[in-house]
Amino acid sequence: MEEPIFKIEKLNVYYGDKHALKDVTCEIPKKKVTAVVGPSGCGKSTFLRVLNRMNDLIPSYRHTGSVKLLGNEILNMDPVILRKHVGMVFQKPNPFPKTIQENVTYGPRIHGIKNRKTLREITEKSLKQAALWDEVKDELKKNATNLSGGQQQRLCIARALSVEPDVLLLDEPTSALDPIATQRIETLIEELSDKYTIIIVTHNLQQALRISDYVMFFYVGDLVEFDTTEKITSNPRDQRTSEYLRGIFS
Amino acid sequence: MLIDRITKLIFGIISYTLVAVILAIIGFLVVNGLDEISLEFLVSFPKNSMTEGGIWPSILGTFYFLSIALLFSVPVGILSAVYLSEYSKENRFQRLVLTANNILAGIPSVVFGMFGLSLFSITFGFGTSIISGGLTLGIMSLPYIISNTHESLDAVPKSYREASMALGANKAETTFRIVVPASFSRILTGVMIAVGRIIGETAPLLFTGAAFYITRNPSGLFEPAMSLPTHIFVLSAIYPENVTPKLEGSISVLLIIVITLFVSVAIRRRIESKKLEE
Amino acid sequence: MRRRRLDLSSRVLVTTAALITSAILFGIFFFLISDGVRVFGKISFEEFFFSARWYPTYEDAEYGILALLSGTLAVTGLTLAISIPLGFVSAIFLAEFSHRKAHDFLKLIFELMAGIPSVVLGSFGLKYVSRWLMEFFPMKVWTGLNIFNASLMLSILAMPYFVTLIEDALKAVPVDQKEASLALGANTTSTVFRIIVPQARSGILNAIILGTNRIIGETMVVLMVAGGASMIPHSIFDPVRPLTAAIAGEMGEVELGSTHYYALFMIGVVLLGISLIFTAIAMRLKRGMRRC
Repeated sequence: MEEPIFKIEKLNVYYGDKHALKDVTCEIPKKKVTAVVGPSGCGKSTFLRVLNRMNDLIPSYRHTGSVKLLGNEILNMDPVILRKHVGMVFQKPNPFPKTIQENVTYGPRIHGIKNRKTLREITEKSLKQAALWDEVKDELKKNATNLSGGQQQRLCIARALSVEPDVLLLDEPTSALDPIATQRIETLIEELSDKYTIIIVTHNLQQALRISDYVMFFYVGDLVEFDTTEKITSNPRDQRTSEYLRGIFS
Repeated sequence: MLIDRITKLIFGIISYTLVAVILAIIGFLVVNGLDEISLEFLVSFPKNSMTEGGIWPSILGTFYFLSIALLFSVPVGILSAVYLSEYSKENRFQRLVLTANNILAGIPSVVFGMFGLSLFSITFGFGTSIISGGLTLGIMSLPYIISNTHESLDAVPKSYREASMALGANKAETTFRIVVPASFSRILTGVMIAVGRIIGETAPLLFTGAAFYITRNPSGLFEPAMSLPTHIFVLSAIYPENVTPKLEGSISVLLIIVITLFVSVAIRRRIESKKLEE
Repeated sequence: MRRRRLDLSSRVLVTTAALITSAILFGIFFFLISDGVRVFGKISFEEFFFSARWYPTYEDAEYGILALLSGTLAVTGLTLAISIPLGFVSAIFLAEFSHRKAHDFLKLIFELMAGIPSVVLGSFGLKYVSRWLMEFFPMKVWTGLNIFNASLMLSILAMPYFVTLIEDALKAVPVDQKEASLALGANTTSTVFRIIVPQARSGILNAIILGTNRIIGETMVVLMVAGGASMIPHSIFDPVRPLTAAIAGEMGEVELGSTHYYALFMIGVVLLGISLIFTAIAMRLKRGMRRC
């Protein structure tokens, strides 16, 4: 693979005494969709949140090891700067109680963009990338909380894209949505992967296998296997992986 | 069940009777003074030992005292609550501030008056003045504003803060651009309630800010002013019987103001709880 | 970076506000105590706390607060006796026996009750209730301004506290407790008194403590209506001068730096101490509640 976007070496994560991630070492490829899967509580979300330092918000959190984003060590970087480059979309859609437009322009304005024309352009671009523009372009001043669940989640994706990150982290983005909305977002993810690196945590194995190029399989805090989706589905190396794929764990 | 019906009947009668008595008293007091209220009453000065004229200086004075009070307590109160809700960890200092707030909430109003007298009038040298009285009232309203704002901020869903931080905003930006605005409506209602409480306060003003009979409006913050509640006190307790119509009018005015505030708050709360139900 | 500076200044700003709030509390204690203890330079501890003779304006002034304290106790006691039962009954009605509309209406009026300025109630008591008392009880009443009058007016101020706080306490008992009782065939009345009220015990206690604190600290009603006589009462129709009324009534005429002045401040310290004790008890109770 070409130069990976993340180089992770011997990453260990602790919540107080609990050893949540054990000696994770891997390289995450650029501009591909990497799915993070595994049974509940195995550390998938924890892993994702290391990548944008959201775990820092938890008081008992500790980490050791190294995580490099494009060659820069992120574990001792200013998290505020990091998060401009690594965006996140959460499981439950969480638009701000503001207008659609304000939701999308919040990020750019924080980072210093004040010009109204530029902000409007960013709004249009982000909403188009999130496949939401056509549905809301005449209602940008409407309150975001009036949108449907699926629309809200696409808005959150647009919001994350508005600051032009290098990586988009998706933490179970469709688990709170109905099947049709889920479908639309899966299509969207595939489109976005041309421009952005996407890392998606999902407990829906079929979804992972449908949309991803690479799969990371975690089991009780260990990164058990990491390979291309084809390889993992056809010929997994580890027995735990094949058992998970067959649905024995859940 | 028969016993349930009896209980319901008796308890209901008691409750409704209490409510009826209160409404009767309030209604009586409001209506009694209504005929005294006229434009002239509201905008003219008291004359002739209070037996004639109006209550304009009391109304203006109440407004001055309130303004100073809010100018102090709204910023300090909201920022203290922001500290408690967003910036503090579970440590000794946080517990100290919370405890201080609880204790302040239980202190008698006359003690605040003495503190205001001691600190503002004497030590700072402001004397009996609008600023002494206003700051004293401000300190009195502080605990309620802090508690209410703290609750409002806590009620903002955690996911908003997460979303903001994930976009690369820092703590100040998240707090002041997302969290505080999201709870703004509740905070405002809390301020209105605090206003309702201090607008009728008499004791603290008696020794720190109140004038009892003035013929012209105060020209600066360092002069005393009349206020509606102290005026009512004075007319009831110190002046003889023939000021009764003025007294009744003043009471009506104050009650009308309090009731209006109360109704506005009740309406706001209705709207807010309807929003929550969605 | 500008953003980083704003972030830091915000932190400084909110911490300063919190410091101001704490400083105010310490300031109140400091100012009151430092002026209050100066009274003991002129009169003895025993005289202040144990003498019932409060005659600050006499030639040979005496500063004993026992009579004042008894006035506070009498008014507070009678007010509690009136408002707790009534408040309790109303709270139960609101929590368990009323429909939505009735509940909302009653609750609204009780909240309105709490908002009536105390000076208005004082004026009402002064002008009207005192006359009614003299008409209805001509044998027993020699002045319409007495404990009974004050307690009636104070009950109006205090009852909303009891009603709302006790209702909250009752509502806080988990619904499944009530359901379990009803499912066993108990009627609502027994359920309320045997199951809900006992489990709401600490919340009810909390309500009583906070309400009592409020009553003790009330000033204007007692100033205008309790009678102003610094004597230990023998009947509920006797006039008294509670601690708060003494301060409010005499502070205006007192000379700065005189013994009387310091004595009044010492009364303030006593009031401060009382409210501190009540608040501390309430806070302890709350902590105990959370552990359940």
